[in-house]
Amino acid sequence: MEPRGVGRDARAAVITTLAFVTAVALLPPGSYVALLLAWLLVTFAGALLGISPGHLARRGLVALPFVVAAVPIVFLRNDELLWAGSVGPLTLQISGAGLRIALTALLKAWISVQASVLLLALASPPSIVTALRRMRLPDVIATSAGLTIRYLELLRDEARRMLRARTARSASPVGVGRERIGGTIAWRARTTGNLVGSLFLRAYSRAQRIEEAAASRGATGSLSVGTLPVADPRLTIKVVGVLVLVLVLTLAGVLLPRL
Amino acid sequence: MTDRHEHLHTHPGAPLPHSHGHDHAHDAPLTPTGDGTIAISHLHFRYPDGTEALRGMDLAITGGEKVALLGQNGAGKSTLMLHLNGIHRPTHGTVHVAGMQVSNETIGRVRAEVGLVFQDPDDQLFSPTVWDDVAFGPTHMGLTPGAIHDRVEVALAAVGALDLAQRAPMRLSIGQRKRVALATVLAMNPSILVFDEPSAGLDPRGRRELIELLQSLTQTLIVSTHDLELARAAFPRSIVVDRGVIVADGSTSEILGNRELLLAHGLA
Amino acid sequence: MYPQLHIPDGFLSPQISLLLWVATAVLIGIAVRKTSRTDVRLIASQPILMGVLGAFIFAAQMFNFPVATGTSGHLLGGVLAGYLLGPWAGTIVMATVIGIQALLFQDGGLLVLGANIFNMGIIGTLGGSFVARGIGTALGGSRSATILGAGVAAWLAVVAAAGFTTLQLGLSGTTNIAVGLPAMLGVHALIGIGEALITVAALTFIAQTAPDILAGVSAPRKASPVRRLAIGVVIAGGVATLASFFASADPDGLEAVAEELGFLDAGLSAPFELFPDYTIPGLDGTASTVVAGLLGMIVVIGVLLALGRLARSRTKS
Repeated sequence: MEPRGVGRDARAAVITTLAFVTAVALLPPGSYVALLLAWLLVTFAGALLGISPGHLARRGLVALPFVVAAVPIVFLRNDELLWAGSVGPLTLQISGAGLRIALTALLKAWISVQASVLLLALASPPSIVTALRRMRLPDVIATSAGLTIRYLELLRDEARRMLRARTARSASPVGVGRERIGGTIAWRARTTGNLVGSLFLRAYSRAQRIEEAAASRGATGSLSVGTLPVADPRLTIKVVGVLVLVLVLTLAGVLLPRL
Repeated sequence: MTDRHEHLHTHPGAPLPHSHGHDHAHDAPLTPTGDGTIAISHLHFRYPDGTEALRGMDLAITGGEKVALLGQNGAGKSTLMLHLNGIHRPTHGTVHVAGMQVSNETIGRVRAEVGLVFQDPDDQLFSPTVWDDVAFGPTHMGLTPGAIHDRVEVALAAVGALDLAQRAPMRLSIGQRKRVALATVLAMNPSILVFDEPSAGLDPRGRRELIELLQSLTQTLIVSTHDLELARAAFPRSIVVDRGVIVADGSTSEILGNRELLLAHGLA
Repeated sequence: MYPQLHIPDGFLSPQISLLLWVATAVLIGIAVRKTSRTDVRLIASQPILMGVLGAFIFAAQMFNFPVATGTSGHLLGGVLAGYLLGPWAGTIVMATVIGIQALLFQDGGLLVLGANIFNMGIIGTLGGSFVARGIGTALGGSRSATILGAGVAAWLAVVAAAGFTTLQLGLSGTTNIAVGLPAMLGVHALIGIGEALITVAALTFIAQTAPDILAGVSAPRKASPVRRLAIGVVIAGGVATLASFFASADPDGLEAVAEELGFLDAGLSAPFELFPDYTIPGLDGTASTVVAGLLGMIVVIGVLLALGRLARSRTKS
């Protein structure tokens, strides 16, 4: 596969990722075989891009905490009881159907995150914005997204340094060694609000400087996000190929045995 | 000082200014209780991304010593300084400040003992008024409103910024902001002060005032700087750091006189 | 870890996801058309300001607010963005931020991005900003009144976003609304307090330190006493309904919520403790909770829409 670059038409990569994620979402609960197929596809594509399956799998875990949202269903459905009993003072039951829903959601999230990691490996953030602009994303959003991406790390770094300076001054009361949170809750909230306000003023004056620099180069009002790269000549073929693949995955979900 | 009264409205419980006149304010509250010593042994530090920033440092500094930390960008000066306050923790080795080993058990006291003044005062100053910002450290330490008031007043007086108390930090000149940033840590009564590039961005007059201010401080001072003249003026001892190790440690005049050494480590 | 609202792919059904994509696209389309100017002054180029402030919102979410040892709150920033940039431009900035979080950090999914933008950007920023303006106007339109309005709206925005998230998960069959809704609303009623406090503090700081920047923002609006009273009644009614819903839905009150918050904070280590009081056959008992929850949400939506219409008609006149 081609390496990622700003000058490339990233539309095929964006469409592939979206189509794949949609196809995964369409799989009914319990389609573990089809999910295995989807995971193999992601892993194979990752290998082509030189990303190890282990690394990809670990990146996929960022979605894990959200499974909290699907936990109630495991205990609250009354169908296909796998187990019922008491744990200490609690009466509990585990529903097979609920477990299937939660597990499927978790696997889908895990695989989908890996797919979007691959998108980033294929296309740089600015080229994704350009691709989206080509796909009719309004100019004001594309420009502002481009600038957000450009200044993101800079402002996050400023925030990190401000946090570090606050930490350095956060001592415990005299005689106490361990870290202790000081002040009242309202005072701490005000401190955090002050940090947010300070960062806003820094961001604001940065925006002013960017504008001055742009104006001194003759820009008026809006910034262009750069020229569009040459359109990928094989885009139609690629998109059709992707759609066929997605259809196969969906069919696999319908036809293959579910547990 | 009319706006001092205004200020008190936002701090109910703070004593009236009359009970804390200037003569009273210069009483003991800012005599450090710690001994100001630093002892570092076999300090190694690796960043999470694998970069070896410090590769075996040993260093002993006695209370009240004034030490300049010299070295090119990326040599490990900042990483070393962040260890003194426990922001970074050693991968191997130990750091002792004011007689305490920096650890989870002591971190709350270490932060009061070691005052870090960062290069960009805007990273340090985030309150609507100078007064509030200097009060942050003492407030976090849970001092009484009266004690906080004393600490803030003495710290601001020490850097000659009492008249700025009710100004917004972001409206001050860079020199004023640097002095206020120093006051924010002085108010915590540390026995060790650590500065990152204090003279960066100052005009000649601001720089001269800074040197005078540094010379007036009695705490242990560690300063990381590219400003060799500053080192010569206010710091009898210098340490040269390169690629995570200490390559020279001695009197500033000797080190600055060794042109070969300076060239070899990117300082001249 | 804190209970977050960025839904990953796989937790919403494709139907719900696509429906919310459509709703989001329509509303963002309106926002793009309405964004002919931002509220913050002194800067001529709006896309530059929006882009940099997008990065600001991103970074501001890193500032933690220590609540207790090991627990801290964070800013979501939707109402803050709406206050600073105006409801429509603020909504676009939040949508952009949420989109970049999904694309660059895998924080929230792609197919469900429409839903995430809807919950946090549309409901949170657009709805929240109009509520903030409504309250500010009802209180007389002074600077402190609009900031107070933003605080209340920030709380509502977080709670409403949590409610919508749970409803969407429930409609997708991924969660049980009867249990999920009170738990999520309860937890986010607490998280929302942090959001409100930080929003108020940040705006107060900016108003004190750089009043010139805010000169044109949420300026006092001339509203007739009758209209102010009407807005006040509507908002008070909405808040009262929501409050009574909390009181009735969770008889154990804040204590139970705090327990749940503690659980969520501890992560997945003790997944059973979340539902001590909701043991299984209690469906008949929870049926009333569902109805109450739905009613509460309908009231909130109604209030948001009504306020939106009010604010719109005012902007035109």
